[in-house]
Amino acid sequence: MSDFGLSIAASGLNADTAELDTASNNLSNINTPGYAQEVVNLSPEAAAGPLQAGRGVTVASVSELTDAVYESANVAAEGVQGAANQTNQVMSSIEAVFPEPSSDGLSAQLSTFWSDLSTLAANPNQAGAQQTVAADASGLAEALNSTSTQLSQLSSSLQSEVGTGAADSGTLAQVNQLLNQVAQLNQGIVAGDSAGQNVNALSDERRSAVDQLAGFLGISTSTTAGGALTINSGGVQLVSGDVAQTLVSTGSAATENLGIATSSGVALQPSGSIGADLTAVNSTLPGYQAQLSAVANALAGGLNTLQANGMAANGDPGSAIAGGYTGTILPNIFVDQGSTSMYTPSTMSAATIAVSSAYLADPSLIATAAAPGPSNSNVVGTATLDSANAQAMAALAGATTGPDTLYQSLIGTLGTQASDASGTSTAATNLATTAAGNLASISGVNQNQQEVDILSAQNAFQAASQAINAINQSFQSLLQAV
Amino acid sequence: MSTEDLLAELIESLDAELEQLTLLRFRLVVLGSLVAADQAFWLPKSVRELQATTDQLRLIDLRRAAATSGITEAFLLDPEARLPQIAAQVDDGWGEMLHDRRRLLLEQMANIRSVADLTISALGRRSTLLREALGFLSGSGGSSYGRQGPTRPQIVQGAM
Repeated sequence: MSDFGLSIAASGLNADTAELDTASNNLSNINTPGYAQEVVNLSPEAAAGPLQAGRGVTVASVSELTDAVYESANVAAEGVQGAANQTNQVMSSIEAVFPEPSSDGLSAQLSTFWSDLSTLAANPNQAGAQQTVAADASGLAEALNSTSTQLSQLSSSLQSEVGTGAADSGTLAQVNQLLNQVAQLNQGIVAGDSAGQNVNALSDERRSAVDQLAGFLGISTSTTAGGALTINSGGVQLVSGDVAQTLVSTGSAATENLGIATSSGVALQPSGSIGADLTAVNSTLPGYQAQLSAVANALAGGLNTLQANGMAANGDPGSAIAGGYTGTILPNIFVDQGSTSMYTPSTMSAATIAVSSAYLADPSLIATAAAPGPSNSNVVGTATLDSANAQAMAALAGATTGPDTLYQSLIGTLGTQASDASGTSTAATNLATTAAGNLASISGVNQNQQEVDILSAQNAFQAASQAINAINQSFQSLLQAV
Repeated sequence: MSTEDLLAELIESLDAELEQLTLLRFRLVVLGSLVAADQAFWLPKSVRELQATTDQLRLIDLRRAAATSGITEAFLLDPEARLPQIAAQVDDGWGEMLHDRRRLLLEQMANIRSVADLTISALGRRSTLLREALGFLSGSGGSSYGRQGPTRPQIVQGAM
């Protein structure tokens, strides 16, 4: 175009087209995860001609509005939120394993059992009372087994959730996929950037992948001069340039040493949701198993000790006072599964506690009477209605180190930890929301502002179009005259 | 009033019309540049200036029509006679001046039309884009863009 003014207009038109297209692009990507608002960077054309007049503008580049500090804060917050939410979820699952307070809970079953023993103490030779105690003892052991099994299953399911890192449905496989994606995007961004291409789409995609990775692992990032993003987690570099590490799981939930390492064997200590899974599998759940087993051990230990040191209503003695007695010697009430007489306390006793088959077969084999002594007239081998030992058994309900006290302590700890996890999760979500909000205030697309801007521009365009059409009309008379 | 006075008045009104057309063209270029540079904030001011120039042009055109009417009457010409017909009836000197003004007027009007077409086209393209954007915002979606549409804009890449 020969007209100087019009060539300015023409250059402006190009710039303007890019700017409007960019605005439309921003709007169409309002809901795209990781999308950063683009802005057109205009630069004036060099002045030319005798008057050194300006020659309009050109589009220098389209760049993304992001801020490295907010970006880092957002990544960190994603990691904290991932860990807190997963911990909260695990604690909720553990709470579901202990339905307290309810009639199905262990607390109610323990209470019923102590009540059964009190009834037996009032009627030490009554078969019905003896039968009830044996049946409820068995029910208690099964409840402890079932609770322990549920904790183990929860642990196994968390291990499955993490996965092996191979192409399964585990989060570790997703992490490997994302790490590869970031490495490939790094390659594209560095190559595109050096070739002067617009790499904002790749950056958006990479940002989205990084956000997900942060939630899974908890990561820190840094950007190289060429535009590649380096990713570290748990002290190990996971992505450098176009090279990504492959992560695999090590150990197992069963051995309480589930871990994550690179394929070359370098272990890392991740945070994020996977870090929370590892903590749950290796520490939290074994902790509750141990506390539950302490309840089982207190129950079995207390009753077996009283059983060994007392006499049944028919005069049969416990093992500790049997001496040379040739008749039936009372069996342990609680034994290890698969054993006829032995009970070995351990941190997994809740899983293995059982009622002895000999006692279940003959519920009268319970030491309701005390051992012969100065305070009674009991004689080994002679029937007695003394129920001092049954009362002592029932009194375990209030013992300071008894099963009830230990179980209440477990439930108290669980309540506190679950509440803490819930509070932390809420706080972490708020933190992540704030971080995302800060990032959005810089790079996000403000829909309302865009809408107002567009409506104003639309009105101005309409008025301009009408004014220009009026020029054509005003030409009519002149055109007819010349 | 002599015919020479009438011709002088016509030439004078044609010169005024040319001057006003030049101003109109300038203001139209300014408007087009503002549209192109996405300076919507200044558009209303530019539009007002353009409208004032157009109004002034209409007044000058009335003066030109009055002068033309006096001449066609004096030369017993058709009241709708155009400048070439008038030029054919007057001395060569006046005729040449009228032909010159006519050529300049036509050139200027063609230039203005060209700028106007360019600006109208730019406005139309923007209006379409903005309609798409507004459609997207109101949830009805645009024909070119949409939530399920291309994740990245081909237009921006194409425009770069």
